[in-house]
Amino acid sequence: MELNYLVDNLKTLIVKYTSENIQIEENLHELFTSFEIKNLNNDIDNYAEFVLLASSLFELKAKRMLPQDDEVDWLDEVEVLKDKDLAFARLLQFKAFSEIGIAIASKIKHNENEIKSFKYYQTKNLFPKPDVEYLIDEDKLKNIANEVFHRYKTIEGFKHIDKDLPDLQEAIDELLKVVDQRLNTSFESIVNDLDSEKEAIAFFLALLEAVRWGFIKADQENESIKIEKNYEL
Amino acid sequence: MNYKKVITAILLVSDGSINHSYFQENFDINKDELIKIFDDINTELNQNDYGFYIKYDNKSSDLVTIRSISSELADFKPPSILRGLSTPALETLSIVAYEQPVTKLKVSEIRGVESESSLKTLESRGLIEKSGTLDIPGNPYLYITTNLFLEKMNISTTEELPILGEYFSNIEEE
Repeated sequence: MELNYLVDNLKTLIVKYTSENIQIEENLHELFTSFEIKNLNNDIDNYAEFVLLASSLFELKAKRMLPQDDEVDWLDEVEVLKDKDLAFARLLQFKAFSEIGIAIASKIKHNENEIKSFKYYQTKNLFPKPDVEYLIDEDKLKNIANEVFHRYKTIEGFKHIDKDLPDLQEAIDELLKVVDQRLNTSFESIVNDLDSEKEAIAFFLALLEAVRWGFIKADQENESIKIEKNYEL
Repeated sequence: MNYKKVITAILLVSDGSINHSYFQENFDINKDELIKIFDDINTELNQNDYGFYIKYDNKSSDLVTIRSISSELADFKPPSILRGLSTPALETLSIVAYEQPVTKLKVSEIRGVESESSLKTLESRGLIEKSGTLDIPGNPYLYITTNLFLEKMNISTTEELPILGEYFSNIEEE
């Protein structure tokens, strides 16, 4: 369809529908797409007018299609507008601070091109020391020091830690040997052969370690722990 | 007394900038005379092509390297205070700078997200600090910028911060 003809048509429609408050029946989409662009550059003014008229008609039609409620609650409308304005203002404020943050960083970076003569003070504020006071009783400290140094010089001083504890690695090796020799066994039967509680503890730790590494499987039913070699390895 | 010798030596070893009042009181000179001494020293340093000068403003002075040799000093530069600071932290810094004294809640409200970690980061860098509490239930801390921030911004008070519009005045030209 020719452009001039279309523009005239649209003008007529605009005049008609703006003077009468009725629904727009025409299919504007068809009207709009019926136009074929042939040589846009030569007729840009008419084309611009066509777009303006068509979009105005679209807007008018869209508005007419909305429910036409005469009793608009203007207070509600104002509240909605207020909320919108507030949200928009906040967005602008956030955006502004975001930009200013970058501007501040750029200024600091620029200023850091001049290095001050003594630089220690530039770092002392970075890690503020905690405001903690330690109260030390001088006499008590001396007594503890005397006790520690006195112990150090005598064998008696280390008596409390000088225990003949069984070796855990030996216990693991022994446990695996026993399990290997028998088809299955129980923790109780192994412990029965031992001489002291300390050895029993070492064997229990050895059991846990051997299970953790997957060398053996241990299953506790009631009070007894059944042990067998892990054949899945 | 040879003011030039003593002033340059004090500025060299001082732990930070020296207030003009210190020189004025100890050397019994007025501010104009002091500024004149600074200018004389700077002229001599410039004429002899030295790589530093006395930087001064209305309040204080310090020895600083000249900007034009900044790239040659790259190996000796102290790490930037901005190193590792994220964009959210910079946003938070700008909010504290312009809204101070400000609570964590207010900062979070403007940014629309929780801002505790940003505030802590800035506090650990020495760019902001707590300055009392707000007299409302809960007594939230109030945050302000520090002297270090002012030094880094090359200003002596927060009132010298550019007005917000200045940041955006040249947008169209750019």
